[in-house]
Amino acid sequence: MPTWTADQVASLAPDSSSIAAAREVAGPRLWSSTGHDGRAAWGQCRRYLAAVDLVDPAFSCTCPSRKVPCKHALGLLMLWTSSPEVVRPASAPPWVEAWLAARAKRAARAPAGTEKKPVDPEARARRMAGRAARIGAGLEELDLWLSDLVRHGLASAQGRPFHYWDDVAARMVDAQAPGVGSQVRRMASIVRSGDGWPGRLLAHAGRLHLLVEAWSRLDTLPPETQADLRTAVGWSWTSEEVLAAGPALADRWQVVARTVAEEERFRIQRTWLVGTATGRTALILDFVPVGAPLPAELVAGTVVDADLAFYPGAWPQRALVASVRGEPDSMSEWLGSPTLEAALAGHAAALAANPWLDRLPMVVADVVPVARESGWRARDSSGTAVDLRVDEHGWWTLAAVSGGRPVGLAGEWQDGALRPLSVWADRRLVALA
Amino acid sequence: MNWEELIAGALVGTARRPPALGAEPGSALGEVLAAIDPADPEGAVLTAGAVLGLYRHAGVRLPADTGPPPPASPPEIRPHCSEAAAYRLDVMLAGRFRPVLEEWLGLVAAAERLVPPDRLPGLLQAATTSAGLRPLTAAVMGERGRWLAPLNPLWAWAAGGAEVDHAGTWATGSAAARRLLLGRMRAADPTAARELVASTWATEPPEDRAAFLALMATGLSMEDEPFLEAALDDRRKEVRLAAARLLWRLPESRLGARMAERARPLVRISRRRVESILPNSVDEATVRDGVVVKPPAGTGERAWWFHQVVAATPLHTWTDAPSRLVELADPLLRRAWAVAAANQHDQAWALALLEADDVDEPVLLEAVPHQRAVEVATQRVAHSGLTAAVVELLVHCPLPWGPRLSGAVVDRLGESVRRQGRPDAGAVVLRPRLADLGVRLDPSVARTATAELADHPPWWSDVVGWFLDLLTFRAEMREELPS
Repeated sequence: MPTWTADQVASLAPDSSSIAAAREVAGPRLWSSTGHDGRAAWGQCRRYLAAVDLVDPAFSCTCPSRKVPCKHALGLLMLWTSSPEVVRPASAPPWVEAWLAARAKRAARAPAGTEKKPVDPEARARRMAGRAARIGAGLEELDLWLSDLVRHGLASAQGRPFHYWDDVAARMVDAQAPGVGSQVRRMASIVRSGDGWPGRLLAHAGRLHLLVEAWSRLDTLPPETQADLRTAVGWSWTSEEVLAAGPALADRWQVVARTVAEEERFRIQRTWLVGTATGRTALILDFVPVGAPLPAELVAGTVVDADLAFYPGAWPQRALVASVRGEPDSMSEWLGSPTLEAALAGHAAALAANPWLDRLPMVVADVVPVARESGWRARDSSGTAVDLRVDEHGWWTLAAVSGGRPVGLAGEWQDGALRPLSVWADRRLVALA
Repeated sequence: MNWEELIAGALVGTARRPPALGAEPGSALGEVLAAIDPADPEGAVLTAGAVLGLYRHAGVRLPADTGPPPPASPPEIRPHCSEAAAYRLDVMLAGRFRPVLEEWLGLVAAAERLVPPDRLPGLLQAATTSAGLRPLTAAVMGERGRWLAPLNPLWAWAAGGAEVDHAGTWATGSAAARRLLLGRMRAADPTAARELVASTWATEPPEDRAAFLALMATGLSMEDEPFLEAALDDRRKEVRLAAARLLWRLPESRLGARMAERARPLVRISRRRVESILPNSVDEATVRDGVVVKPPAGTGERAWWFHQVVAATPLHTWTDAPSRLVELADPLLRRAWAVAAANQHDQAWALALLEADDVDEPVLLEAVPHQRAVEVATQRVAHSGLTAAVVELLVHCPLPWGPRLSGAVVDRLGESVRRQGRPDAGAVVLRPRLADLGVRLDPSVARTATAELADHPPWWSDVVGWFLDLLTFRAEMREELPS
């Protein structure tokens, strides 16, 4: 039977206001006729009947809300995780049985209609070649634009309105290279990022130029680099392609950080894992439209025994969970590098293998957060420090959890600063972002 | 070519400054740069930017931190509250249940528990905006909180010893900051606060002078009397009035003695009767002592003058037993005495006046012992139901209410809410006050309330739902904390 944590339940919410609303209906006294049978949980909150399919997450409620899941379904799950004595094992009432049966029927019907369209390998190859060519054409246009930027000088970029960048980004999306589109949009924020922006902008533009060059002779490059380029332009991989790319890596994976960002009309969840036996780091990326629930199987602060399939590339980082064995455990130890230098040591090799890697994981032990004139930092036992890129709330949470003592930090290394995502202290992991 | 030159060139543009691609040979980096085709200046700058940018990024050296390490927080003596209780704090800080936060902090403090470190910033933030939460926050923040608060200037109020610069704030602060400071100082050190006000009194604008006097209600004592007496001659009416209203609360003041002289002829006490004699006029000196000449609409001016003079008179002027006097007095006199008893916080008079049914001065409840206040409130609820006056009285009834008063309120609430048809005047008054009751009732009545209020007309559903949510929330939070 699946057991869910409060964190997991919260991550199912379509938005943050739903979490707050659900917490408010998650009180035992508001519920009656509750129960669960391993397959589903159900209950009545005031006059609404809510049920949740626990095996293949789905939600049902008689309330008029258009959110999925609604606050009642979420509240029911919160109640179940926080007060299992209220939502006891029972046999499902008829209305729950009927709902599950209807779902099973739909599920049985669905594949029948969609499957068995024989894949024509030639047609597929034609489509792929067509897309590669469209991307190539788009990238050539980008290169002309980059050349113009350098010819007129980066200083001229400072006064440009946002649509100067956004128009180009939109054309990259039209050319089926959305990854390049978001890199171009990032240039707009680099220009406004304060001291040292010209250097950051030039390095960024240079890497895009490198991408254009590489794409123009894609066929001559090793397969790993071809894969990195495909990832960099934002040509997504299907899970079949990822699973077929190589054997999955079995380990007990610590879930050291999880963060959700909203971009355009999507929510992006980044979950960082560290293998306890292999020491490998892995990034699980999930995209859902705003309003839809995010996958919640990986909970920060737990250890899962799982097989991960890495996306192809010269420095595999992104992965998907191929299979999970057993129940997650609580994390009991921190595997961070002993110093900041040691934590950075692998980064040069990573960039040498894949210069388009933008974010790299950083997991370090025994650092003390310190506030200095220059800003917030984390300092290790050797006296070396790293600048932290963190908002007010994240900083004060970090300071409070540390209390001036060394803590473990997990986060992302980007543009010369560490963005801390979670802190490990007193054998507990606390989220910062 | 080095990085700085490359950037300087890129900033002005290759159109004005073509790149100089001299690279020192011998190094791996030099070889890569030497291979760049100079025929395409823009491509050359971009490629060099990529190469040097990556080179620097990959080989970044972290700075040494030379500052002293921060002192570590001492270990805690008390245990933290449970994760379930901490989660409830998250819910309150998120907004809707914020009115319950003070009660929750009180329960945590009573249970001798602490708020876990990761919740401290949120709590300190909340108590920074709501000063009323500060004493309890300080009680549950533990060593970690005392370690953390001094690091953030906004939390200086929680930092204890390292106090803020009072004189500086007073001299240069905004109007709001000065009022905040004065309010805090009055609670902690009334004398110092008054001396601060007096030091700049002559130069303050009139609206500030009136506002400062209003704040001096906190910590008011006979020490303030000379200052207030002097303020009775202020140039501005609202300042004079504010000073007089404070002096009305000090039965030993000179103003009190003057009022007693005026009031004695107006209240004729004999063995069998107490008679009110309405004054025919008020003189300048009476107006100086805070009596307003123009009556509110619907009140006769002589009755209005009488009311104010008696309300401002020290109750010790009347030497007979309060219970006998109250019994013999007419309603006008009783109401004036009720205001006096509330102002002067006179327990004996408050008790006597509360016996009389027609006295509606809710503040009297705050002048009598807690148990008696709850008894009176219970009687009123049972006798009159939840009328506007009774609800007003309830809001002034000190906490905790206990199950009996709470049960009585829920009974009457059920009656009001279940009444069918068009909502009557009482219901219109009760509706917006329901939440005030929800945060005060003893949570043990949550179950009864849920049953009593289950059948309500749709007109009630929003407020009743919220009321029940509040009660349930408060009942649950008690279960999470050992008592």
